[in-house]
Amino acid sequence: MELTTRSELLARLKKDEEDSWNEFVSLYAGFIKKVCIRQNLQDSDASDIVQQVCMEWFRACKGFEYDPKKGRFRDYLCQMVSNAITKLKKKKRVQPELDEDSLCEDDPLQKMIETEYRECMVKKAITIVKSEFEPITYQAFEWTEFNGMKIREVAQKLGIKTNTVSKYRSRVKERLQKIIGDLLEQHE
Amino acid sequence: MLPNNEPFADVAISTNTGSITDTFGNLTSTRSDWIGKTVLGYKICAYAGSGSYGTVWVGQNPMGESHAIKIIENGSFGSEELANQELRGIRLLKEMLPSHPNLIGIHEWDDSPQQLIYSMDLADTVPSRKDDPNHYLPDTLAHRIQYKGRLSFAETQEIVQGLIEGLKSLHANGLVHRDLKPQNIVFVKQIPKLADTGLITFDSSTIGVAGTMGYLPLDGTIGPEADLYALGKITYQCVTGLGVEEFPSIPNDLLKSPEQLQVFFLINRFWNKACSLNQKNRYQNIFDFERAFQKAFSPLNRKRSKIIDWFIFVGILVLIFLLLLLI
Repeated sequence: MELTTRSELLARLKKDEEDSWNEFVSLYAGFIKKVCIRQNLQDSDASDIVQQVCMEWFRACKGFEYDPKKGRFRDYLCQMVSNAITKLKKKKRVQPELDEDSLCEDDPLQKMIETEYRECMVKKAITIVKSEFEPITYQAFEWTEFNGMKIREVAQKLGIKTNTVSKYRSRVKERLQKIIGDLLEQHE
Repeated sequence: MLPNNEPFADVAISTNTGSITDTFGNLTSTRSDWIGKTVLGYKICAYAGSGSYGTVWVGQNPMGESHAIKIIENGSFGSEELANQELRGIRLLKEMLPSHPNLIGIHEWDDSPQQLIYSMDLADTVPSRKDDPNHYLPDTLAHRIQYKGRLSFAETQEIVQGLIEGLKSLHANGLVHRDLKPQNIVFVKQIPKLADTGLITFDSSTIGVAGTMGYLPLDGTIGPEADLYALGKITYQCVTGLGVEEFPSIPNDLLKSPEQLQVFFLINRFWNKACSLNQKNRYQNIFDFERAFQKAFSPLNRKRSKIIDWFIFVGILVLIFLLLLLI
C-alpha cells in the first residue's frame, strides 16, 4: 500500500478527485469522531462534527496553499476540530466555555486531540503493515508484541520455528516504526 | 422455457395508471409506493432492503409462496453495462444452476428497457422480526456476525461447508461469484446460500476486477481463486466475530482460551494460507480448499464422534444389563 503524502492529498483534493475525498475521510473521520466521543458528545453530535469538519476542510482547501512555514497541517486540522467541538458545547452549554481562538499547548482538549491524532496514525500504519506482510508474519509480531505471548508459544501455535518468530517480529516491527514515522512526518 | 420473454402476467406497472412507470422514471419511489402493488404476479407486501443498484421487496404469489423481488431502475445503474451485468448474472445462474441448495434460486424476471425485475428465494427473517411480517429483515451471515459476535466452530463449519458446495457448482460450470462477503450470504430455511448474483460471470482472463475491498486479493487475482480468498476471510470473520479489516488479528480471549487451542490454531493456519498475499501459496482450487478446511475442522468431528462413541458404549452396556436381567 502506498503512502500518499499530505501535499499530494491536498493537491488531489483541490482538483476535486473523488478518491482523494474518500481517502481524506477514511484517514481522519475516525480520529475526529473519537475525539468528539471522548469529549462526551453524543454519537449523533459526533457524526455531525465529522461531517462539518470534513466539509469545511474540503471547501477551505480549494483556495488553500500549503506553506509549512505558516504551521503544520495537523495543527490546522486539530484547530478546526477543536473549534467545532467548542462551538457545539457553547451552543448546548455542555461545559464552561473554552476560548476557541487561543488553544495553548497545555489545553487538555488540544493535548487529547494530539494523542488521538497519533493513535489514528498508528492505526493507519498497522493497516498498511497488515497489507504488506503475510498473515503468519504479522501474527508472529502481534502475538508477541501486543498479546504478550512467549516466542516459544507463538512458534508452537503457528507451526514455525522460534527463530522464525523472532525474525518475523523484528521485520514487522521495523517496518511499522518506519511507517509511523513517515505518516507523522507527512501528515504533520 | 425461461419466463423472461413473457409479458407480465399481472402487471401493476400499467401505463393506464402511470403510477409505477412514473415512479421508475423519476427515482422518487418510496417504500410505501410499492406496498400492495403487483409485480411479476407477486403482490408486494413488505420492504426487504436495498441491494446493489436496486431495492428488494417481499412478494407473495397467488399460490401463497413468498419470494424476494428485486427491482432495478436502469437509470440507477449509471451505465447500461452494469444493468447488463446484473442480467447476465441472473441468466447464468438460472440457466446453468437452476436448483442448487447453496445458491440463491432465481424464479422469474422481466428486463424491459426501463427496469429489470426478478424474483428469487426469500431469505428467512431474523428471529427478532419473526412476529412482525411488515418489518422483514433478511437473515444474512453479516447480520449473524453483527448480532452474535463470533459463531461457534460447529456453526462456522456447517455454514462454510455449505458455501463450499455452492462454489464447487459455480466453479465446475466455469462461473465465478466475484463478490463473496457476509452481506451476500443469506439463510433460506436455515440453509446458507450465495446471493447477490450481479457479478456472477464466466471465469475468463478477460473479466475485470470486481468485488468488495477486504475480500479481494491485493495481488489482483481474479477468477475462482479470488472466490476462495474471500471465503477464507469469511471463515475468519465467523470464528473471530471481527470485521474483515482486522484480519489477521485475533481477539486476546480467543487466543488464550485453553479449550480452543487445538482446533483454533489449525483453523488459523487454514485461513492464513487461504488469504496469503502470494497467490502461489494459496489453495489453488475449491477441492484443495475444501480438503484443508475439513482437515482444520476435523478435531471437532473427532470430538463429536467420541461423544457418540461414548453414548453407543453406554447403550450397549444397558442392553447387556437388561438382557442379563431377562435371563
